[in-house]
Amino acid sequence: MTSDRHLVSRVVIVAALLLTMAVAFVSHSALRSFEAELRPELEREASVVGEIGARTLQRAIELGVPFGSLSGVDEYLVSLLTAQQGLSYVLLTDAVGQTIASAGGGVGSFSGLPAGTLSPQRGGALMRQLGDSYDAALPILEDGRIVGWIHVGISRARLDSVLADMRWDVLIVLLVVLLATSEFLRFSLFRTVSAPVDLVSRLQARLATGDWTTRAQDNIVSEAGQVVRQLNVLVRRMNDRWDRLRWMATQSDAALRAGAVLDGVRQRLRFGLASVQDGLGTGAASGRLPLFLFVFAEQLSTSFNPIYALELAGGQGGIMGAALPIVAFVAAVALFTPLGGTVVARRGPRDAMLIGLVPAALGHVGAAFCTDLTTFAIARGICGAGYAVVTIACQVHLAQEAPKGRVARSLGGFTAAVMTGAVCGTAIGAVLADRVGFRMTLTLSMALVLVTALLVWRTFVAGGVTEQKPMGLWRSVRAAFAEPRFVLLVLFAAIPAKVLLGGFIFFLAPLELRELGLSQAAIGRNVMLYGLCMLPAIVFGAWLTDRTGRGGLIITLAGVLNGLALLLPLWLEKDTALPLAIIGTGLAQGLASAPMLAIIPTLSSILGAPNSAVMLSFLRLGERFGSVIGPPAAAALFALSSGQQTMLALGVISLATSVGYALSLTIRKRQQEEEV
Amino acid sequence: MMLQRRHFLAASASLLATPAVAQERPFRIMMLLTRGWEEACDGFRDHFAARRIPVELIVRDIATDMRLVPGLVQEVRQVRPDLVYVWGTGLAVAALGPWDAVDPTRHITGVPVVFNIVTDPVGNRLIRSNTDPGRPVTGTEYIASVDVQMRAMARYRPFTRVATIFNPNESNSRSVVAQVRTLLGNNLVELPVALNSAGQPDPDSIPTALMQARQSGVDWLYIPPDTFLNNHRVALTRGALVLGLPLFAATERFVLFGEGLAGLVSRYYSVGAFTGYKAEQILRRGRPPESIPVETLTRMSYLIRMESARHLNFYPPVGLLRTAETA
Repeated sequence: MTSDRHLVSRVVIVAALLLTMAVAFVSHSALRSFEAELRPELEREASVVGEIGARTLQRAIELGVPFGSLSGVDEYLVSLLTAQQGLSYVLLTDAVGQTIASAGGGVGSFSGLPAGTLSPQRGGALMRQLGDSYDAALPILEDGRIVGWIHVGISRARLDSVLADMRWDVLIVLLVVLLATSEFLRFSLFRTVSAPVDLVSRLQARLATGDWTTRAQDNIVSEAGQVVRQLNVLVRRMNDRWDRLRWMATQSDAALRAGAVLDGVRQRLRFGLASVQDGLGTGAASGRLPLFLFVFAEQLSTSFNPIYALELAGGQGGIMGAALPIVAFVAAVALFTPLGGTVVARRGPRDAMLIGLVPAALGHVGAAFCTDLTTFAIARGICGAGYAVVTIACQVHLAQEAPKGRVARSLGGFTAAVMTGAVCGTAIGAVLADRVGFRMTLTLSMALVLVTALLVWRTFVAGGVTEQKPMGLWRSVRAAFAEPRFVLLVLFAAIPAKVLLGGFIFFLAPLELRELGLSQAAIGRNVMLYGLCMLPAIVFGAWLTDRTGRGGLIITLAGVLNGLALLLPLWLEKDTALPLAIIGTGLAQGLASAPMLAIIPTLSSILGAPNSAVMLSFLRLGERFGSVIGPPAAAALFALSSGQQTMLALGVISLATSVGYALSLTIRKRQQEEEV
Repeated sequence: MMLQRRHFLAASASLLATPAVAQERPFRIMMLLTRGWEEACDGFRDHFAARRIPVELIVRDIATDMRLVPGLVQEVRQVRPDLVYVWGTGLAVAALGPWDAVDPTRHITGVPVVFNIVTDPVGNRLIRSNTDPGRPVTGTEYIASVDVQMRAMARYRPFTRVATIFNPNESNSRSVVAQVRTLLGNNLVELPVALNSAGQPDPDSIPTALMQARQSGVDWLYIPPDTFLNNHRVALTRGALVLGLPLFAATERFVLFGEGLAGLVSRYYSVGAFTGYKAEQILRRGRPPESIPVETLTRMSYLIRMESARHLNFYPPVGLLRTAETA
C-alpha cells in the first residue's frame, strides 16, 4: 500500500517536473520572441509620434517661421506626449543637442545628439536606447541643413509590464495545468495501478490464509490485470483439483482413510468458488476526480457571473442585480445542504451524486440560454441545489472510503479537490469567456457536469453504502446540536473561518489592494495567493491530524495564526501586511480544513448522534452561514471605521473564537474526566 | 450695366442646375444681394447644382445702396418667387423688418425667406430665436460666437487689451462690438469710424483710427463683421501691418483678400451651401421656414496669413499651425 502511494506520488512529481520544464522552456522562448516582436513595435510607436512632431515643426519652418522663432513648442510637445500612452518624454534640441523645449518626466538620462550627426538613411528615425527608454530622433531641416532634432522617448517599463503580466499568465496557466494533470494522474493511476495492486494483495493474503473461495474481477486492463487473471486461474485449478481429489478419494480402496485426511485439509483450507467476485472498489482517490471536474465546471463562470448578470439586466439591475445570481446560488446551497445530507443517507453517495448532477446540469443549461436576470438567478439557484447535494455526497463518500487512521487525509482530499477545481475553473473560465463568450462557457460547464456523471456512473460502486441511521430532519438537528463538541466546532471554528474568508478574502482584501493602486490583474494574483497557500496547508493539516490525532489543537492553532495574520498591519506597512495576511489566512484555513471534517465521523459514532452525512451537512450549513454574513459584516465595520481597523477587528474575532474553542474543549475534557 | 450682370448671373445659374428629377418647372429663387455676387452666393448656387435641383435664380444687387430696398420689396411682391434669398444683415433688416412688427407695405411677406451672411439675427430682431424663428424666415449664421473668437485670438497669442474699429452705422458691427465689450470691459478700446456731414462713414478716418489703436498699446486689433470696412479692407489691413498691429477678423475677406493676420471664420462658400440646404428643405420637402432652426456651421476655419506674420515677426504657435489654414 505504502509503495503504491509512493509510486503514485513519484509519477505525479515526475510528470509535474517534466511538464514544468517543458512549459518553462516554451514560455521562455515565447517571451523572448514576444520581446523581440514587441520592441520594434514600441520603437515604431516612438518613431510615428516623432514623425508627426517633426512634420508639424517642419511645416512651420516651411511656412516661413524661422527655427529660432518657433513658438508654443512646449505646449505642442505636451500635447504629443499626452496623445500617446507610454511615452516618457518628447523634446526638441538644436543642431548641437542642446534642449530647447521638453515635455515628460523621463528626460533625466537624456543626452542630445552631437553636432554633425547625419540624418538617418531612407528617412525615418534614428533609434537609440537611453537608460530605461527607447529614443527615436528625427531631424528638423531648414534650407536643407539640420537645425534641430525632435526626440521621442518610449519607456521600457511598458514592455517590462507587459512581459511581467505575460509571465504571470503563463505561471497561472502552468499552475492550472499542473493541478489538473495531478488530479487526472491521481485518478488514472488509482484505477490502473493502485487499486489492481491492492486487489492482488488482498487476493494473495486470502490465499495465504488458505481461502481459495474468492476470485477477483478479471476485466482489469493493466499489468496487474494479468496477475489477477493468473491468480483466478490458479484458484479455479486448485478448486478443480480439490474436487477431483475428493472424487478420487471416494473411488479409492482406502476411502475412509483418505476422507479423514481430506477432512483434515478442509479444516485448514477453504475451497469452493464464491458467487461474488472481489472488485477494485471505488476508493477515496477515485472520488476526487469527479469532484474536481464538477467544481471546475461550476467555477468556470465565477469570474463573469456579475458581468453576465449586468448584461442581462441591460443596465437596469444596478449592483444589487449583479449580486442577485450569486445570492441565489449561495442561498440554494445553504437551503439544500441539509436535504443533501438526507438524500445521501437514504440513497448512498453514488445515487445522491447522480441525483445532484441533474439540477447542476440543468442549471448550467438554463444559465447559458437565459434571456433575463430573473431566469439567470433561478438557473444559478438550481445549480446551487445540485452543488449542495453533490458536495455532501462526495464528502460522505470520501469519509466512508477513507482507510482507517487516514480519515483526515481522505477528507482533506475533498477540500483539496474543491480548491483545485476552484482555482483551475476560475482561471480557465475567464480565458474561455474572453474567447468564446459567456453562453458557450456555461454550455461547456454543462458538458463537464455530464462527464462527471459518466465518471460517477462508471467508477463508483453501484448503490453505494447507506448508513443505517435514518431520522427526520428536525430530530437530526436536535441530535447533532445536542453534542457539545459539534456545537463548539460550528460556533467557534466553522462559522468564524468562513466569516474571515468572505469578509477578508472576498470583500476587504480586493478593496484594500485597489486602495494601494494595484491593477485588477495584480489584485487577482494577490487574492489567488489564498488558494495557492491553502492547497499545501490542507495536505499538511490532514497529515498532521492523522499523525497526532490532535484535531482540536490544530484547529485552535490555525485560528490563532489567522488572527495574527490579520493583525499584521499593527507592525507592518499595508503593502506588505496585506499579501502576508492573505497568505496567513490561506495557510490557517487550509490547516483547519481537514481536522474539522475528520471530527465528524467520530462525533457521528456517538450513540444517538445522526449519521456523518447529516452531520457534515450541518457543518457545511454553518459554514454557509459564515460565508453569507462575512461580507456584509466586514462592509458594516468598514463603513464605521476604515479598512485597516476592519482587518484588525476580524483578526481579534479569529483570536477570540480560537481561544474560546480551546478553552471550551479543555473544560469539556475535564468535566468528562471528573465524571469518569 | 447692372441689368446685364443680373441676366448673366441668372443664366449661368440655370445652366449649372441641370434637372434630374421630374419637376414641373424650376424653382424660382429671388436673390437680394448687398454688395454683388461673391463666394456665399457661389456656395448657395452650387448646392442646387450638386443636388441636381433645377432652379431659376433672379439676382438683384443693391450695391450697398439701402435706398433701393423698397423697390426690391415691391418687385418681390409682383414676381412672387418660390423663395427669397437675402444676403447681409443690413439688407435683411431693411427688407424683412422685425419679426414681431412686420409692416406688409414695407417688408417682404407671403414668401418663404432664407438669409445668409447675417450677424446676430436675434439681436437684430429678424427672428424670435434661433430654434423658433417665429415667422416664415430662416437662414444661417456665419460668425463664431464672440467668446470663441476671443479664445481663438488668445490661442495665437495671449492678450490683455484689444482695439476694435467699426462702422457705427452698421447694426451687425455694433452688435458684435457690444458683445466684445461685455466680455473684455475696459480692456476693449472702441474706435468707431468717423462719420461725415452726411452721416456716412468716412474712409479717410481709418488711418487715424489705426494710429489711435497703435498708441493705446493694444495687443490685437479686432475687426467685427462690417460691410464698410470690408469695402476698405485693403487700406485697413495694410495700415495695420505698417503700424505693426496684428489684425484678427471675424470674416474671411480681411485675411483672404486683405493683409489681416488671422481670423476664425466660416468660409463664405460653405455657409452659402449650408443656406442652400435650408432652402432645399423648404422647396423640396415642403417644410415651413418657421420650423427650420437658424444655425451656424459646426466647423470654423482658423485662417492665418503667413506673409503678414513674417512682416510683423508675430508667428503663430506650432500647435496652431497644425490645424490652421494658411493664406
